[in-house]
Amino acid sequence: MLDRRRALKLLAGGAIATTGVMFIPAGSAIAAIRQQGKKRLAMVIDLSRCNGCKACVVSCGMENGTKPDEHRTQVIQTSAEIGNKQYAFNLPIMCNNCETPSCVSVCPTGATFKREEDGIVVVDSTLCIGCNYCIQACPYGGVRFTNSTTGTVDKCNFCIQRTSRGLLPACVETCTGGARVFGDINDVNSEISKLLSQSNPMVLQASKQTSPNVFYIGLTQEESNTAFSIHSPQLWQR
Amino acid sequence: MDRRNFLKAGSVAAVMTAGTASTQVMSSANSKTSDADINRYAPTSLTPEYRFDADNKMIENQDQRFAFSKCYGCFNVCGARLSIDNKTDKVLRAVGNPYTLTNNAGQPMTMETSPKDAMFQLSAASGLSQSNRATLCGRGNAVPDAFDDKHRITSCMKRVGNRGENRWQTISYEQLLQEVVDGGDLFGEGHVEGLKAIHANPALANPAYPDFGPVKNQLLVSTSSEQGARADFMHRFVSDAWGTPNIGTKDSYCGHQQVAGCALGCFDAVDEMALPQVDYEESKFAIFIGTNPGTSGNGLNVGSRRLSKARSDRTDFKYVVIDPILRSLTSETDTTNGEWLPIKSGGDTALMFAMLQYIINHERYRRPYLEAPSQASADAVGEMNYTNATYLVVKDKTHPLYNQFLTAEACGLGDAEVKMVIDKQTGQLVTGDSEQAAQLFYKESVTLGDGSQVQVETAFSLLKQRVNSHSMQDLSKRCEIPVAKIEELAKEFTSHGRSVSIETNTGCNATDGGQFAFAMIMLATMVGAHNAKGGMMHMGGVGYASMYDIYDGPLYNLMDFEHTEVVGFNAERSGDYEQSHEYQQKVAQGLNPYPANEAWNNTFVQDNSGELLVAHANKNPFNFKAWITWSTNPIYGCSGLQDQVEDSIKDPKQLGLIIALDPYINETNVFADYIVPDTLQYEAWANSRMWGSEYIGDVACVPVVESRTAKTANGDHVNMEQFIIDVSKAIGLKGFGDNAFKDLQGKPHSLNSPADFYVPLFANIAHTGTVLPTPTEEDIKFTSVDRALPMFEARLKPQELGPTAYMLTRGGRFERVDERYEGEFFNAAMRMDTQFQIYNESLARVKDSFTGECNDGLPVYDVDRFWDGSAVREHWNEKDYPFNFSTFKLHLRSPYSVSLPRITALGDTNYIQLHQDDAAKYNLKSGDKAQVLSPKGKYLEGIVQADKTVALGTIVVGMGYGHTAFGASAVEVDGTVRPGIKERGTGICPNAFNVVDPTRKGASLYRDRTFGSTARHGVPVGIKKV
Amino acid sequence: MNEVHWGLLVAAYLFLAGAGAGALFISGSLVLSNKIEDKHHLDTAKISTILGTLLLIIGTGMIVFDLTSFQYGIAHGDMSKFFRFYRLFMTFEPSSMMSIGTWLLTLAIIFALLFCLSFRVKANQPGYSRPFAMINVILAICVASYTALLIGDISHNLVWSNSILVVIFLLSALSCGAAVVLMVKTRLKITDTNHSFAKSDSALLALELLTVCVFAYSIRNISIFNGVDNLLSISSDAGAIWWLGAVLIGLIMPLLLNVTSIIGKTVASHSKEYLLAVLILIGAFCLRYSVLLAGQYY
Ligand SMILES: Nc1nc2c(c(=O)[nH]1)N[C@H]1C(S)=C(S)[C@@H](COP(=O)(O)OP(=O)(O)OC[C@H]3O[C@@H](n4cnc5c(=O)[nH]c(N)nc54)[C@H](O)[C@@H]3O)O[C@H]1N2
Ligand SMILES: Nc1nc2c(c(=O)[nH]1)N[C@H]1C(S)=C(S)[C@@H](COP(=O)(O)OP(=O)(O)OC[C@H]3O[C@@H](n4cnc5c(=O)[nH]c(N)nc54)[C@H](O)[C@@H]3O)O[C@H]1N2
Ligand code: SF4
Ligand code: SF4
Ligand code: SF4
Ligand code: SF4
Ligand code: SF4
Ligand SMILES: [Mo]
Repeated sequence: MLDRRRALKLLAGGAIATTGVMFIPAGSAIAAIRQQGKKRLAMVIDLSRCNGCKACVVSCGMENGTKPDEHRTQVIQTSAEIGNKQYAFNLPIMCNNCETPSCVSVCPTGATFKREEDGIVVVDSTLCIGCNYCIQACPYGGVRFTNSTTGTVDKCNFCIQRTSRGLLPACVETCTGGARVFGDINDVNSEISKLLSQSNPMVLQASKQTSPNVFYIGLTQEESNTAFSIHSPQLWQR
Repeated sequence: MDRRNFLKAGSVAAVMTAGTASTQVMSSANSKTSDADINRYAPTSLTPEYRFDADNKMIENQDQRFAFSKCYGCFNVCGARLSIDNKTDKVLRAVGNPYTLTNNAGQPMTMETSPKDAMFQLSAASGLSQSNRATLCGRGNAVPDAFDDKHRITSCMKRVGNRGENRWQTISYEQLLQEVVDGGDLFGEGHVEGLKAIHANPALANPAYPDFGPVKNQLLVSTSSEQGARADFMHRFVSDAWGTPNIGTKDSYCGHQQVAGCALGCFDAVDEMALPQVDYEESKFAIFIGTNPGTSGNGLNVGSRRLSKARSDRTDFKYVVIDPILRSLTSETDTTNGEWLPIKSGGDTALMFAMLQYIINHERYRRPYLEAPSQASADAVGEMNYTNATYLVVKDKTHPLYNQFLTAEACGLGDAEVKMVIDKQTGQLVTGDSEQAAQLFYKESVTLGDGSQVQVETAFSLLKQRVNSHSMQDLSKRCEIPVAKIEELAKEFTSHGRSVSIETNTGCNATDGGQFAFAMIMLATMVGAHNAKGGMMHMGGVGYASMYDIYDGPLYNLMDFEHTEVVGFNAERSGDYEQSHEYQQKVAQGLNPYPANEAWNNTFVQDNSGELLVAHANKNPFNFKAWITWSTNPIYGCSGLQDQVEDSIKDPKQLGLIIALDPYINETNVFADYIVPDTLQYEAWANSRMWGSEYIGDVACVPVVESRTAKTANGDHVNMEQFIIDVSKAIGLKGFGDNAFKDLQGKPHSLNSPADFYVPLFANIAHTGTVLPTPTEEDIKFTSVDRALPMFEARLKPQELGPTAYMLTRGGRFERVDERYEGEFFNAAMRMDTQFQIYNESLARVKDSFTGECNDGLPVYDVDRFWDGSAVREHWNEKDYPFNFSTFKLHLRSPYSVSLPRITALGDTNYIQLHQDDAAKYNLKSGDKAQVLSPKGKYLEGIVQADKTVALGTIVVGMGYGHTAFGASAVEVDGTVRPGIKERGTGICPNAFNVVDPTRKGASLYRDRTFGSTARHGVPVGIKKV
Repeated sequence: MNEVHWGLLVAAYLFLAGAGAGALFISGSLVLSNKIEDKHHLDTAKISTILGTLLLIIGTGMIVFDLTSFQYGIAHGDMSKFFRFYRLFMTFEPSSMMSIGTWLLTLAIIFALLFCLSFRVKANQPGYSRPFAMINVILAICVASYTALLIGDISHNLVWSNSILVVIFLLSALSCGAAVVLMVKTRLKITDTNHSFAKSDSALLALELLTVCVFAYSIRNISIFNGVDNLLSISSDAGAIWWLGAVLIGLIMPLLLNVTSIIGKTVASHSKEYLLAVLILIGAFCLRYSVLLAGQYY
């Protein structure tokens, strides 16, 4: 297991394991979210289904009009060694649309906020001044970035233009592995709810206490504690 | 219930739809988010093509339209659904078509589902499981950006300056047409023969080679083979109207030897095709060797999802990927089910032999299956198919049937078609149609009908000897897989009955790719996995064109015109050398006809664009006079080719006229004299099978956006079809223009525009078998088929219109099989019922053009050899070239995806990849610069990536980088320079660098020993730090 | 691997605001003390106040220049984006240090201006300036420590969320203020005959050096704990700027200069005093720049 962690550190390009190595099963967080009784949109990424195709990355860019080198989501890829065998590591990352986002409270203009009605953390591009404070405040490297078309901050907003219109996010629609599942975790009948309750989901960097709404199946504890960045160099060309 | 069971239940329920629908639908009912809000939160995002209101009613976006089309981001040809902006006519977004089986896993939507309902089912509002989504891959999503690419060709262009300088002037379509048809002093370089004169000349192309036909054979056409009906259209022109055998495609430098090699194990023939797939849903153990499902071949989208479903939903599925390099699908979440097993490139046949040796020596094969000599005997033991394992091969060198099966005729017991076996029970010589089991092992003399004795041996007995011809250690050394691991694999493969499978595609591409594939099929034959539930599925990727005569009715006989006879061998010498003028001359002169002067290949007709260009470069049998190249790029894609032929292409004296039909300037057509702009995917008519589909299915679509290409004087858009039609009419070829074909009533029809061809073809497909119903008004409007309807109304009889339109409203026609299995096997529609071959008699009749000796009927394991039989390693030693070279297709790249900015942004470069221990010997580590050295004297310079994810002894370079065309370098048009785009020229392309065959004369390509197709892997190379 | 979102402009903001606050603090203190009776102290106080105010204003300008909306406005000639920073003033977000800072700096600038004016209005009645001096001293402390709190509020940041930074930034602001004042004095040709300035400056610098070393040590430990290379290692840009710029140029060299003049009992030459001031200011800028960079390294 140590091997695997080392391999990750070597290759993920700058990713580090962070303080407060903490195992927080997502279950309690979900329970807390559910207690509020409100619609809470979330995503599950089943890593055992992800093959690193990056259809999600490209479709997100097409749908959301970011420049080709600006990404709301990215897939970190490297190799990992487990018990002397080599495996591929594919980890899609994006803004977690956290339950207690650290990006929101720091915003001096109120441009970024968490929507009451569905929990999406949005940026109002007409209010954002581009002070980058929220970028600094988010522990998830690179998930917030400046959209060079607007000069203001951008991030994954669960494709609000689609998901508030009865449609699925672009990345979910075209996930070739079927790894991404989207829905309301407070609707006990939704696919995502069932998936969450039956699996043992984890979130990234639980110790940062932001209570993410992007859950991973198949994530290890070390990986969960590692600070990955959307800007990690894309060295895996395979 | 544990998670796996839940998921399983979930996915089953998903197929049954409504079952899992959530109560609280995620429609806009719950969201009061106004459009103004959205504009603020998502200012650069698209507006959805439609939405669902509180009552789940679809509200269409009036500024956009929806349409089905196909994806052509690579040759998988997936079905696509598009959102198109009405104002700009731009495709805003592309996703998969939910009716096809190549975009979905599990059951696609039925053709009866209305398109709107299909879209509802895919939406969040439906609350249905998201497992049945219809996807496109990364490239497929990026493709809409190709249309407005600054380096795209949209006007007719004529070369300025020398060939290859990439300087052009735009000219009118009419001028282009006139010049290429009539010729003249077109470039101030002297007279150029026009197409008309070339076609009309009845003289022999080269009197020294009368068997290569007349001057019109000096037209070379290199074409796309993956655009379905468009490729058929081109064939109509080349083969049936003009009449030249010299048509080339990429198939033979793609990997046709593996397809043909698989077929050696499936049919008593050498020119058949087979490429079985894993039955992911029920397989217990799958081996992928030379392919990575979901990263490239055999249906990226469907392969990706079927594998991911199998590995996360099922506990009883294991798989091994045998590959020189770790690819992204063998992921760490899956350490119990999946494994990457590194193999030294080119060692695959050795591995197959080693596994066969273990299985046969330890009698782990399915004996009753192999003992059955006939269908009846197979039926008796509950097998679906049978093999020729028990058939007796004549081993008397003097006997006319030497190395052929002993026939009933020879034994005086029947005719030549019936072969002989030894009855298991009685030990008697009986005919192979026996209903009883026969002996698997037999090696003795038998008495023939005329009383003579002849030595015979069963195919299986021969196979046992064959696989024991090399020691396990030797085989293990060749593939660099430990003996214990090989035995483990062999045991596992023989531990799950028939529910195991082994799949390949184009990766095992050393000189023995054909033999590898033959041996690989043999492995499946050992356990009877063919056509079995959980075993090998043989009917993948078939389309209507291969299953039905779609050009011959039921409504229109599109091929009903006077065909031109094709005279002569093709220039690449795919044919029977013994029928050649050269052979006959030699025999007449009492000379030994062997070796032939040039390499011949008598298995199947290669149609290899690369070899045709090699023939041209060698002026043997002749130089071509004109070359039409459409939608293919052999100079970039064909291993070893570039430096062999480039000078002969550049020289107008050797090749008078080069016409390219393409939306891009690629590495091949950059040498053209004229470029005719062709349509880019969504602008084109399409009808094509899809890779990876299990059932019969075709994508079919009309142009859904207006073509960006220039217009003819008549106001039609220029494209490949229009050009071919107009050339044909100008020359007066049959099959185009008036009276080009007939309908079933014998009424002649004309072919003056693309629609004249595709409309009746679509009608034929829609009326094949069960005639499709008529779509609703709403279906037609929603899918934008109404825009195309006038074209159909103008050409079809009213009653033919509905079914044809119905097909378009679903983006194609897709047959559905509700019950995949019939007992332990696939259902009849999905089976390829045949006699599987332990010994391929037909192959044993094919002669090697160098030695004149017949091939072996069994798979052969050998070192890599050149055409003259000398070992490759005798020429290129281990000391200077200690590595084997291999390539693969990068997940995000196809040979032409470099024009997509969202793809180039995801990877700056490819790498020289090798094991860190190998690298250390050369003082190399990741990030260093190095040169890979080829014995051809060329080198590849790039950045090293050294870790533990490459097999020892192998250097790997991925395909899709290292471009010089597609906008990578500057293009001058009408005096203005379009500068090159840096990101498009990064990285390295392995092909120009790769080796050829020094034992062939002049220009050459490295070849597969059995089939003559171009080989590219397992090639000796060295490395040097720079 | 994170992109550096806060670079030179934000460093300049932190630095200028700190220096301005420092200068205002000292001038305020002068006014509050009896020294103001001295003409040259009064002049020093006046000029320092003006300089401090200017520095505050320029510093605040830097943060506006750093706004991506502002830069976009310039690049695309988009006036609405150019003036987008007005949004800062449309709301007060108590949870946001940036918002707090906006209003704090606004207040600071207003009172600094009033302070300036107070000298002018009742030029010869220093007593009149006292209340403004009082307010400015308080605001100066707030502004100086606020620059540390702004980045310190990013709690997951291994470098920034270090509470000792508040002390360092405060001390640094003071020594910057002192440097500014020193320049003013030098300009006014006031000589530090009994080394009182040099002594107090030395004490300040020494204290700062101590805290800075404690900080560097804690960053080293934090880095090791988190399994990353020392974020202030000399081999990184941030580390080089830190050790050479902030520590060597900004602290050790000025300290040596001071100590040599104290020990040598010589009055520092004017050029030496200018040098001293400039070194301290360069050092203070480097300090903030390197802290900003180091905090964006992982
Ligand atoms: N991403 C992507 N997908 C594509 C295409 C594309 O261009 N890009 N093109 C389409 C086309 S035209 C085709 S033919 C298919 C091809 O599909 P595949 O044949 O599946 O794809 P390849 O990547 O060429 O090769 C498969 C694997 O073989 C491995 N390999 C190389 N040498 C050896 C060897 O000596 N032994 C063994 N055992 N393995 C070896 C490679 O590393 C690679 O992982 O893909 C189709 N899909
Ligand atoms: N080393 C190495 N070499 C390989 C391979 C490998 O894995 N490794 N793979 C091999 C395989 S599997 C194959 S199939 C061949 C491919 O070999 P080719 O078929 O020769 O190569 P492509 O570049 O794919 O050719 C397709 C051309 O079609 C044109 N085109 C693209 N889109 C459109 C369109 O929408 N409309 C029209 N009309 N034209 C279009 C472009 O000019 C493009 O160059 O390469 C082979 N070469
Ligand atoms: S991931 Fe970061 S940006 Fe997204 S909501 Fe959480 S804290 Fe905010
Ligand atoms: S960059 Fe925009 S959204 Fe982020 S904190 Fe500043 S104003 Fe708020
Ligand atoms: S939900 Fe939408 S915005 Fe977020 S990553 Fe997916 S496609 Fe991008
Ligand atoms: S689209 Fe799905 S399978 Fe592909 S990389 Fe993204 S999450 Fe993974
Ligand atoms: S696999 Fe090829 S055809 Fe299919 S979506 Fe991807 S690029 Fe398009
Ligand atoms: Mo291919």
